[in-house]
Amino acid sequence: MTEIIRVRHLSKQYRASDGSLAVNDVSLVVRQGEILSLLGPNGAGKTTLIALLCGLLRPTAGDAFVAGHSVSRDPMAVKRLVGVVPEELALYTRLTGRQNLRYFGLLYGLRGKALREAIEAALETVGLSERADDRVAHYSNGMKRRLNVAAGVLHEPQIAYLDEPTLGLDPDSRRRILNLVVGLNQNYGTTILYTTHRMDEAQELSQRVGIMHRGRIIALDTPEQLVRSSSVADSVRLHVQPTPVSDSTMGALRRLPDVTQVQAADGSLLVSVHRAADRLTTILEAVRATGLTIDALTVQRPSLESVFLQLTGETLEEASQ
Amino acid sequence: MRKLLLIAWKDVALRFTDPAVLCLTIAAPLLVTLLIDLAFGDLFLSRGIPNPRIPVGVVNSDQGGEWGNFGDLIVAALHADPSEPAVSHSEPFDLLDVRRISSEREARQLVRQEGLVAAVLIPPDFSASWSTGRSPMEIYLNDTYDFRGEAFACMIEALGQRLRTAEAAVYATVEGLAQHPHSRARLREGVLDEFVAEVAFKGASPESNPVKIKRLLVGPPAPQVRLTHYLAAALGISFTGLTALMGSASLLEEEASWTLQRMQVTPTWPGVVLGGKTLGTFLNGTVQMVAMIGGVALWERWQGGSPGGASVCGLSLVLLTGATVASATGLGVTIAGLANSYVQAANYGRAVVLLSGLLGGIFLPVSLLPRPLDTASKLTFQYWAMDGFLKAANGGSPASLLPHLSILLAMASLSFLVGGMLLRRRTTFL
Repeated sequence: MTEIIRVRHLSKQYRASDGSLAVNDVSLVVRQGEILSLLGPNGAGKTTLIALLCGLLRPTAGDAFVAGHSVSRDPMAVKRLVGVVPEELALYTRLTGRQNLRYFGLLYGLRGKALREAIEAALETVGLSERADDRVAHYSNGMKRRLNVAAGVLHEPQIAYLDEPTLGLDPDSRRRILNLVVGLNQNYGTTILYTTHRMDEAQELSQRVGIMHRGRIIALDTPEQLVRSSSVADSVRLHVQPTPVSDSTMGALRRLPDVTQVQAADGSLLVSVHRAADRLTTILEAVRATGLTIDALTVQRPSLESVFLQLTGETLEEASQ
Repeated sequence: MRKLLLIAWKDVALRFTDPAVLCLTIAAPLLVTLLIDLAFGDLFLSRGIPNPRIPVGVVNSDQGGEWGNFGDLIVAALHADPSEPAVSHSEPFDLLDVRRISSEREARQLVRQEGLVAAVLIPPDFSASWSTGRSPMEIYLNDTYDFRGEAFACMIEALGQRLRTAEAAVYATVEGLAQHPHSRARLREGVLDEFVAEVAFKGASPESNPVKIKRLLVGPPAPQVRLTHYLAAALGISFTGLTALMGSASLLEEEASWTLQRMQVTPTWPGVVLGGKTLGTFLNGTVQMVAMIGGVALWERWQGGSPGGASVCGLSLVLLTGATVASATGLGVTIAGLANSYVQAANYGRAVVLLSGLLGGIFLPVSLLPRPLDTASKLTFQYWAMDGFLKAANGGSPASLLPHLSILLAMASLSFLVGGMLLRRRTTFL
């Protein structure tokens, strides 16, 4: 795939006096047609990075090129190519949903029939056709979020930046938006830069995930590769009888290859092991050999959450505070 | 250009689709004005709007004579400080607002232009030829028979009379000297004869009235202001000022709600966004002003014309409305540029509208303000707008309003320039 966004040592400092950088020496390549998620807690610099990439903010250092156009030297050319869905509900609540879409469509340069068709298609996609002529003030939060997304991608941009578009949504509205994002990418080939602090969204949507922390991208790869390359072990939980489990059983399990940790709690054994799929038979045989009966078992692969924890030393929730 | 109009139109639509805004900022002030017109329709305020003190001028060129300088005496009497114990409380001169004028020409001009109710001209040989009355003191009054001018003329005549009385006392003394044996002996010796002869001659002179009153022709009486017109202009300017200030502050509101940034991420030049927002504010203010002024004009037409009878020039009103709203909008842009948030801008704006409105004659006539403030009022757009609208209501032509229009537009240009620079610095993406 050809690259469509290239970010070179991009930095942004809001106030010279405090010395901190909202975006700190970020370099990144986004390929045409991919969905790349930026995962990170609040304050990680995701929104600032998007504001820099759409020409809204001027970089303090470095530069970024969108389809070959520099965001600092030619922001207007960049703005013609991108659509932005901000985290805030950037809508006029005294206007109707249709009037909002018409207003932003006109600002994006749509006119006449193309504009009318784009509005109808966007309303249909986000499921607001029936409420299109109601004032936005009377919409639910989910409806406003959907309209917020529609207003940003109404003009079918080549590149879309979506900043936490599902924030505070119910599962139904969230699902609609995720489907819309996938549809944009698959039907129109739109390259999508998606920011979120939800691991499941990043994992579900993205071909690649970048983990942002304190203004830097500290890891960037496919979700699978990120997990694989981390040293976090799989977790095998065994519900056994009788309990409590003896020390000799625990010792036998600890001596198995690739097992890093064994804990007993609430009638179950929690075994941390690398390559659980390969070692599962060995573990089960070792437990049975001690005379225990296995009632149930679950195997859990490490998630992006555990990757984030390993990389930053704190959970996403802790990092957001 | 299309995007600029689109942004402006959006602001107009947002404002005037709000029933509360329509009621509070357009219907309510118009209704109040019309109700007051129904109640006090025939009430007029004089054009110069009552000054509690009488503005008069003095040109004292008196060089003095052998009996002293009467010109200085008269000026001192006019300037009498009522707080001084030497001055009687019945002294009427403390009612005067006396200005020293350097030339007769200037004094006459000020009386003609109604800047002064009257002017006293004391000639260079006033004291020297006092008793002969060859160079009398002159009082210029305009021919409108303003009671204040007449009152002042009486005061001056009374003052002259008092001097005459003092002179008579001198004559009596001299006569007494002539009757006294010792003095008669001295007279016979020829020591006092010249002096007494001169006094006796002067005392016998019939043309010794030291005060002459001259009237200046100034044309028809000054036009008066209808209370309804005053209220319509005052409320229209106030509400338009508020609308313009709040409209400009809405730029910060849009920044907080990210709709401004959303506009900025579309392929729209920053200047177009700022220009569109400013045009929207200007249009909102204009609609409001037109509703107020137009509403009153229609009301008067429906009632068979203004009781004042002056025919109002529509072009004057249009030009003044445009210039007034432009200067108010410019001020709003400057305040928005100084503020850090919408709330701060709105608070600054309300304070500025109230204070500059008070200073500019919205709440009470400028002529009632003490001297430094009445000069400072000329720094406010409300002063020029009020004065212009009241002039237009009395039939002022666009040409006669040229100073008002020029000053309002100059204020607008300056504040747009300053405000635009401040806003660009404040919002990094504009």
